[in-house]
Amino acid sequence: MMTVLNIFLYAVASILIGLTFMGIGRKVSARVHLRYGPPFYQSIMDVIKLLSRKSITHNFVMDLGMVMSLAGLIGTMLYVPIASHTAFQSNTNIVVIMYLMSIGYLGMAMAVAASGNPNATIGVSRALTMMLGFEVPFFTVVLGLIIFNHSSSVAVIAASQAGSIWNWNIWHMPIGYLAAEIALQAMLGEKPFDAMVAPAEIASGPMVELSGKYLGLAFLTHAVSIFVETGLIVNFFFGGGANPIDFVFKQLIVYLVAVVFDNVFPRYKIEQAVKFLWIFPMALAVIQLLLIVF
Amino acid sequence: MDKMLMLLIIPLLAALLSTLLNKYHKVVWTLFVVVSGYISYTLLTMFGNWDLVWSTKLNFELFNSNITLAFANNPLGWFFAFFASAITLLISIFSLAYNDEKHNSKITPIWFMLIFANLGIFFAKDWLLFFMMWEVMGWTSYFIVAHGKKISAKAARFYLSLSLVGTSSLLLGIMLIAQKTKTFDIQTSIKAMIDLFSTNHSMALFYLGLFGLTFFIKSAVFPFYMWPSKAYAEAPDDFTPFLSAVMSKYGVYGIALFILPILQKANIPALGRINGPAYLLAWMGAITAVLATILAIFQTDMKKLFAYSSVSNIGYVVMGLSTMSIAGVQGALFHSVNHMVFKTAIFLSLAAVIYRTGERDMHKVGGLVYRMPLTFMTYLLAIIAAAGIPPLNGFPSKWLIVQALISKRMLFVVIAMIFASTGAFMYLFRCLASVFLGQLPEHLKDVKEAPVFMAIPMVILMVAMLAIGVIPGIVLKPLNTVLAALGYKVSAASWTTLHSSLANSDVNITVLFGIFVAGFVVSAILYIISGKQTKVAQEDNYTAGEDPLDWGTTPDRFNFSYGFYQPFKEMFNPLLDKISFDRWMSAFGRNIERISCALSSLYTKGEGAVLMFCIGVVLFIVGGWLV
Repeated sequence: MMTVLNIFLYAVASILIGLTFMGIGRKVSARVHLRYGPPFYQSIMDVIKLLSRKSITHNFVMDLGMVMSLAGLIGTMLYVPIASHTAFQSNTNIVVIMYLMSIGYLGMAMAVAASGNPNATIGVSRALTMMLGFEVPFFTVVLGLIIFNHSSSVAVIAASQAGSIWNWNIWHMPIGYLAAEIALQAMLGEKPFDAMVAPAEIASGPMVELSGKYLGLAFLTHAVSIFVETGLIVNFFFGGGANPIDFVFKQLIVYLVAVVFDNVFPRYKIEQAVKFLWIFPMALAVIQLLLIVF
Repeated sequence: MDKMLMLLIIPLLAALLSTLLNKYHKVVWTLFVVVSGYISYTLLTMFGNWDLVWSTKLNFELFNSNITLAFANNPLGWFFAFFASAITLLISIFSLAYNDEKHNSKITPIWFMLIFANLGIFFAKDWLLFFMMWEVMGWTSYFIVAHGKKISAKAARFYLSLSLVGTSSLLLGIMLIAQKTKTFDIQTSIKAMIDLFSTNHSMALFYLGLFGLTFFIKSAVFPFYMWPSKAYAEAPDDFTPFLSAVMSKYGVYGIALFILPILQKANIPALGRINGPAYLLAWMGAITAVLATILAIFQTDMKKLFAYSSVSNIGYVVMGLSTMSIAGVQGALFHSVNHMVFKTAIFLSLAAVIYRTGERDMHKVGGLVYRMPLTFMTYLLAIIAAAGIPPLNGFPSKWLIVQALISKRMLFVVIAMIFASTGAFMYLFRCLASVFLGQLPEHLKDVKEAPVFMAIPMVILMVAMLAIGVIPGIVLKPLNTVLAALGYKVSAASWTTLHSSLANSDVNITVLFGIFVAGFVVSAILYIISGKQTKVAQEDNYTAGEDPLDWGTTPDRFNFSYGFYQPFKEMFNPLLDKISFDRWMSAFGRNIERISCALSSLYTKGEGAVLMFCIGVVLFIVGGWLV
């Protein structure tokens, strides 16, 4: 019973934190643009509005896909240790996290492709291509961490950096951190790696056909994915966190760095983005891997 | 009567019977179901009876001793044979519905022969029988792939000629080893090879290479990755699952049976945490997986796409075997079974699509989910399994292989595996989006769901994928018994937990499923409590009320499917142009053809014949004069 309650609390907390991050991100990018910007809770208000609206669906695949995408991300979130707390007893295996995350992407891709809009399908095809781009360097960095710690448990990797700030992996493996940071930019779909959304070309790609609660669920999925991805970076390179507040604060910093970069870069074409990801972050990741092994 | 003999005789008798009754397609395909059921049941009862042998002594002498032919029940062979026959049973039920008046491929007699050869390969105790069965398997599958069609025959010839190269090298290997050991027994030859490695290293490697070549060709490991895309695509639609699920495992079985024990026990200098030949094996697997994935992404023909996907899965299995650790071998054999299950599900659902629409090109169909929901669900679960996403059955085996590779520090091989695994997502989704999602074209408006006998195996496969994915012990328990009988130091497998050789990394798969369900419940609650939705037609929304017919086009023209990964393809084109092994082979073939044309013109054309005749006469005279 306690576990069920825990799971529910963790899910709601991660959704709220992710949405707040999105709101703060919007505020920060407004300030970069020298605008005033919406209040930081704007994204939460947006989602509440969207969920309560009437919406349009085309078929049951869309419904199933949207539910599946949020389900996959929430499931993944439950495996990420938050300052050494998890909703249930587990080994927080990184390979599980990376594979489980893809069910969310599959659900989203399926739902929007079922809408029949070509813009959405183009967006999905780009998103999957991008995924192949960032997953390879990101996993190479993770591989280095696994070998360094002799364990594929995220909690073990986070715990190994406890103590002082100088134990953090960002000081031990700065090259790997750089690679992971670039991969994170692509994971979050921020510029210069936002070819899958590309509002000016393909009308926000996957989101083009979503309305009302479907868009709301897509927002929630994005919020949880922000939580998961920044959470992984914090666990890997910033020592996890002494307590949940510390952890969330570090996550916010990681996210805001991505947002600031998002505001100053133009967009890569999809093949340029994949080439870039396979050349620069990959080279950095491989160098880091070799430094760890030898 | 002897159980072992019965098992082999029954398919042969059935082959004879079905030859006589081949006109009555309902009868022969029912016979096929019955015989497959019988074989599966008999194999089930044979589990654990590892001393079951049938042998006969011949009067022929070879290398100064009488030839003994023997079939023996062995753990590894049983493991492959049982799951293969269970899959065959499911395919046979599907075939019952598939082979109606219009689609009847009339292949039952040869398929029975193939099943006979299939059992023979897995239970052969000596190399002579193994070779005979390997040959029978080669030519029967050639006839089935050809099945009396011109275009299929061309693909089948390609397959057969590669097969012949493989069998010749197998024969050479067998004879060379038998000459050394004076026996054809497989287990004895393994011991002899291990000894040979300490006396004559390069000779042993050469022998091993001969066997490796055969197994690589049959399982389509690099550099022979291209034949499945031809043979699988042109084979009868209900036979393709058998090709992919069962026949691609012969090479894996050969490697696990013969090459692996030698590499484990022989005295070979270590290279890192494994030895040189094993590294080569790992790299072959890695290249196979990556190359096949990239090629699969670019296919427009659904059967070709999944042919390459099968090749890439064999790549994972080879990588797993090459680690030679318990987790790796366990993962590889587990993945063989999982691949059988999910690839059969994929090919059966595609066969149902082809049966109903008659189209093999993905861009010519679309939106079939509205007409064939059950087929769609089968395909969806199967691709989730194939992408290695929990909670379906591809995940545990891939996870075991990844963990084994990491603990053996085969870093670049792991990266290749992750690349292939993520790329798998791309091609799997491509087929999903193009075939089942998008707009339903006008001419497919009256397509119906697959018939009942096609639906039954699909439902069973769905249940199997979910069951193995949630409770991996279903396969891991018998697998560990098999591994223990083979001499690995394994403890009894747990029903739910996968053990890793890395610290703190075990995963409880059943809990993982529970977590996914929990996520699903939270997400479903959000979906239900939020506002109501109304259902509208697809084009109502994004064409803003305009009728595409007014612009002289149809709604299904909006399916984005032909150049699905065009930018990605353009990125790879220069690279693929350079390393096409296929083109090298056809250039080789062209040159051979040119030489043989020139030679044949010597005795078919007039002046050539005269020349040959004159040379012959001169040689005759000179020869006579010299003698």
